[in-house]
Amino acid sequence: MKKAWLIPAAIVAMLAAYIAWTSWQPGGSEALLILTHATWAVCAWLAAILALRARLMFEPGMSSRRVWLLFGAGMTVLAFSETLWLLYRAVSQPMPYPSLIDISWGIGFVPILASMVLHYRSLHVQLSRRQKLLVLDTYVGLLFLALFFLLHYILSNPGQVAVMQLLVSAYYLIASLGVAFLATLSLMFMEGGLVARPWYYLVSSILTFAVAGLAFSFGTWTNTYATGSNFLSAVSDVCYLAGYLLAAAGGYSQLTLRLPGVDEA
Amino acid sequence: MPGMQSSFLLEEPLDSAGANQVLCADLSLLFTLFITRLMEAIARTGGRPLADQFAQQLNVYAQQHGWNVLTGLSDLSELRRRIPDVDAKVLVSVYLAYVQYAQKLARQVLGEALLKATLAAMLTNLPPDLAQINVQYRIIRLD
Repeated sequence: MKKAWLIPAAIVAMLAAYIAWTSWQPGGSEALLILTHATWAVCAWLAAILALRARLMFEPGMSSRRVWLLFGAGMTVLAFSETLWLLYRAVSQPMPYPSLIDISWGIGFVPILASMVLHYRSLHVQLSRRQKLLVLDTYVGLLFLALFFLLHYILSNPGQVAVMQLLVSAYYLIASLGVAFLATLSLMFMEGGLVARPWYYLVSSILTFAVAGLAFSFGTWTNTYATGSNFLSAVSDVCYLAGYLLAAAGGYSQLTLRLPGVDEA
Repeated sequence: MPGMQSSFLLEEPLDSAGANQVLCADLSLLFTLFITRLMEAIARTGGRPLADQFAQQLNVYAQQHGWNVLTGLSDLSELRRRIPDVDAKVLVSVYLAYVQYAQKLARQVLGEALLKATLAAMLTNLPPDLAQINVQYRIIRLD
């Protein structure tokens, strides 16, 4: 971990490259669409493989091993969902919303959320009441802010948003923020330590997925979501890519955790 | 800790060879327990390789500070099988220095809050005789 800045620098570089591609769209919108989903699939598989390998750093029976296993299993399902999209596209099948891919993505997110909860429980987090309340207030504030904008849209456009879409959006939003709340508390407990490094990435990944999900939901409600066509879609797509990259970075960071000054065996 | 027995003979003078040996055993047990708990916490949160690196780093520190010359033990892990036969007062100062270094290193790995929670749990669960020795010699401290 001598060059800890390399991982964030690589993530920023990849996101910058993707944003540049989205802005100029060489090869047209179809090429961007395929590139977007292919990149998500590759990054999701990478995150899954790294997380499953990271679990081997912990001895059998340890909670952290189960935490990484759950995270890796969730990422595997997400990677499968992203790959499924490419397959659908290859056979030119029309995709309703929510499609099999959306359902599979929703299922894959469950073990990821469970891994964050398990990590929080296994750490026996001891923080002051003030610290916990501060984080809780921040997340409740974020949740209300997001719900305010969503409800404002729903009430201004009655009948436009299907109940199913509403439920799916609420699931991602509440689950992501709820679990990010616990993950943030875990992170604060480990703050300043080498062992916190992977968790900076994983918590950021969950938060980025929450933003991506919110933007995607809003885009589908308003029928404005289309890769490369507007700012909202770009925010959603970039955040999904960032979420996968950060998840992969978390696994990589765990695999390469090393005390400064210790030679590699 | 097989092969190590805790002492209830603290009141005896240190110039007695037997009391010195018992105190060396208790101090070594306390020190080994301290290192073991830190390694467990690191293995639980950062993985086994990181915990092994922590032990390796401690051993490097011990070698650099004349551990084997002073005690005749090859490294710190040998404490699990043998008790150093030295002046207990010297051993106290050696363990004090090692504990300070280990704590500094563990702070880098675990962070302040997790380290404090680990040490607090360890001190709470110390057997009464070891807790008494720790209070007397102030080897493991939460500050």
